[in-house]
Amino acid sequence: MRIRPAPSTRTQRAKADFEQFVTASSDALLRTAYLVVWDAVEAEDLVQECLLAVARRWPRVRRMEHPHAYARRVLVNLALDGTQRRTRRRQELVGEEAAALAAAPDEASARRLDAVGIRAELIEVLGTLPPRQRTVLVLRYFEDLTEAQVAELLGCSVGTVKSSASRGLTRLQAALSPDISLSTKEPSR
Amino acid sequence: MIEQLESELRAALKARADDLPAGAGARVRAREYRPRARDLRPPVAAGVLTTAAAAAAAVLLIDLGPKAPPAFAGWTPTPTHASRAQVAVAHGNCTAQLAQLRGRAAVAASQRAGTPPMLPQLEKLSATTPVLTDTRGPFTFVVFNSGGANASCISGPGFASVTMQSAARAPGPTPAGRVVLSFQIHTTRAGDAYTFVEGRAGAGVKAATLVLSDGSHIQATVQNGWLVAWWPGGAQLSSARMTTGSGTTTQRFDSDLPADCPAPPPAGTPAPSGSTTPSGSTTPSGSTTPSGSTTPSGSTTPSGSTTPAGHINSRGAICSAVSAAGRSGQAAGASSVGSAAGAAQAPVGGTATGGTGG
Repeated sequence: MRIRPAPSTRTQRAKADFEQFVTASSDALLRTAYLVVWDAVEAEDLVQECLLAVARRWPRVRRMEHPHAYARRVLVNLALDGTQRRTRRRQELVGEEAAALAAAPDEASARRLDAVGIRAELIEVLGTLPPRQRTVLVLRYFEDLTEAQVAELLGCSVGTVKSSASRGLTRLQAALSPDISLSTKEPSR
Repeated sequence: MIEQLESELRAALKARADDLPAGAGARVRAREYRPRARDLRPPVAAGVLTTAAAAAAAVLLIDLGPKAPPAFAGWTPTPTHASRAQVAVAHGNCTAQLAQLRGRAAVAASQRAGTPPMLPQLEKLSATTPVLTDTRGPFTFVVFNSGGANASCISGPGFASVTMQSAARAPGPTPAGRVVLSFQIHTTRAGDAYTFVEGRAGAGVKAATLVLSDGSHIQATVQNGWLVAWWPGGAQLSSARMTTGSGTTTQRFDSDLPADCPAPPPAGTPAPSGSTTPSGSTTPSGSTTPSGSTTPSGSTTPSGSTTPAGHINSRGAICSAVSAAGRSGQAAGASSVGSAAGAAQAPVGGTATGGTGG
């Protein structure tokens, strides 16, 4: 006969499991969020929102083979869902000083990275890509997901992922200095 | 070659990710997430009867659940006692956000001639200690004041928001026994609306119960001459019932409301714990005229750069002292009716109602 654990025990175990999951996954989620939304504060908000959503579904999530992959999917969808809101918020910033603020946050990091050549330029251009396009590049080239995995995560076709990645790479390439210009082709699969 | 671009892109993304500010992970892990221990979904094979029972139970749960949406789960209409750890984490989060704003302002300043008017204020604010801390369950509201500017910061699980205001002119005095609102802001978090008010409490104000347009009552936190309250939803502040040493007075903030006073909270409504100003505390120098605000995610609009758009000055009015005393069973304090002007600028992504009820 299977004895059900007392509620308090079950609660404690769920909490312990979840804390373990947060410890193991939060840094990776934060890095992904930072690259997707391109803002540290926003990324923190987003990861917390994501972990709250996972906590609400924890009994199911903990039984999954890859809880982190599920959390990443929640995170990316939350990020893309909030894009319109964030864009509106930025547009509502008033005055030229606000415009300077919106354009400036990544200057410091770009300067720090100047020593590594085109990387700084790439980072600068990445920050200007449409969020969905940047998300595809982040999932493909940072998370190392296949095009099929990205399509499944974003709920779109593989063709859409390919074209988004291609457009993103083309924009990156166009922005690079002439001496390091690269040919335009479909991204490798 | 495309391979070279892909390779550089990988390196660039990694470099950017490595640039994530230190401390972000610790702040994320410090949150209380409260994972569910049981799956609320009924087993699929349980049959129609079980499903129907579960549906009924779900309806019951919805009926009995808290009014706050999930984004604000745990919020309470009366301030709660906060653990030292919660306050420390909240203060740390707010200080970090202020520092980030200051950093952005400094970068903006380096790109333009002159210093943005907000930069000195942000530097001062970053060096101050909070003048008020309001806790409602897992949420913490902190107010920083540097004399010329103040910053409000709400934080909680999955939730952090900073708003900065700077005074365009020297604030006037706050009348004793009265409240002068600096602003009322409506904004959203994850699609769920919330509203907060901030202001100054005159000398002698020990506690304040706010009455909202939907009839609900919110106990404000009054500390060091400051007053703060916030609530899920978009209900407007209608009036405040102040407890002073000499009794209770009601101050109205919406001149369009009916003339009679809203019903006070039922007898036995708990007072906020540890949140009232000691009798005889000093009155701050008066209300501010906010002219700048920041987004919930921390980017800042310039202070004093534009004339506040859409600000509303509300008129203060005292409800019948007899009526208030009769309903609450307390002696009504004597007050005079007055008005004063204030202004607030809408935060990005929200609307603000500035003004005073003096």
